[in-house]
Amino acid sequence: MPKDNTFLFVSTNFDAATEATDRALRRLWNEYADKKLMAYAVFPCWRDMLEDFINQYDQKTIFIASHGNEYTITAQDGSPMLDESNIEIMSGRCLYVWSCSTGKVLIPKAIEKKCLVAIAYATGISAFIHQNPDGTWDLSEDSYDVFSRPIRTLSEAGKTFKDAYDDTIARYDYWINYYKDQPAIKAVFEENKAGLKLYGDGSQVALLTPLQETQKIIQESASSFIGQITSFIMLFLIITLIKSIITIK
Amino acid sequence: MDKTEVIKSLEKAKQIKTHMIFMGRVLSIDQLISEVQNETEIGKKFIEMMNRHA
Repeated sequence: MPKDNTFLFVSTNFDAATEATDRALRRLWNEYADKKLMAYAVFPCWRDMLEDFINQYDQKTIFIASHGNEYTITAQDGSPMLDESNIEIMSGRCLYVWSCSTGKVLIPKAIEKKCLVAIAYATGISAFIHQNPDGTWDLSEDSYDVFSRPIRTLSEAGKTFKDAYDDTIARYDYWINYYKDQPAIKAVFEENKAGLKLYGDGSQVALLTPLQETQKIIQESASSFIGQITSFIMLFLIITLIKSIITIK
Repeated sequence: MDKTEVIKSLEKAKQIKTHMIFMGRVLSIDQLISEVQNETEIGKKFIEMMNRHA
């Protein structure tokens, strides 16, 4: 069973588009770290790294940003990171995927293989980006807003994937209205909104409560501490016993 | 919405946006205008997209 309240951030960075989303995901990962949430990251990610990280740490909720198509999500080397042949690793987990068209075939396949819930796009994703003076690329504020919304919502205690999906649709509506006099920009947000889908059981939560997580960590630490004390006492008794035997002889 | 109207919309967008990711490619708005102007595959896709939401 994947561990509740654990997150894995996954991205690639091999062109301007992936650089912008990689930088955006790193920002969000830092926000999770600031909130003391159990967030792991693989920046950038290859296929075996994704599988190893999930096998090793068993994260429940996974956020992925990369290029993709109906059948695959692309790894750092351009080969498939996730496709039909390894999609089973998403069994029992919750996903948010920012990759073109994965909602057409790959994500339904994941749900078929017992992935609990997924937010993904069934169409190509368009976004606005800009180049910074140092040459790096970032998503523009509006595109970052819709990109980050599911991740932001899911960092709040008790929020479900359905909440995350609804919040994101609401942000799309905001930008569509904001750009009502900019038909080209408005069309981009409308197209993305039409492609954004929720798959599986939307009642899933990514985070129970931060307090519960803290309690869990404290309990684990406490039991580990008690275990260490017990081992120390046992060792002390054994040494005392050996000493007594030697003395008697 | 025809090609001319799409280009007009992109010219207006150029006032506040510099680049976009479209069909997996990064394009400056000027490049996109040129793609639409020349009716390349990507240009045609952009026109289609705008018409879906016109």
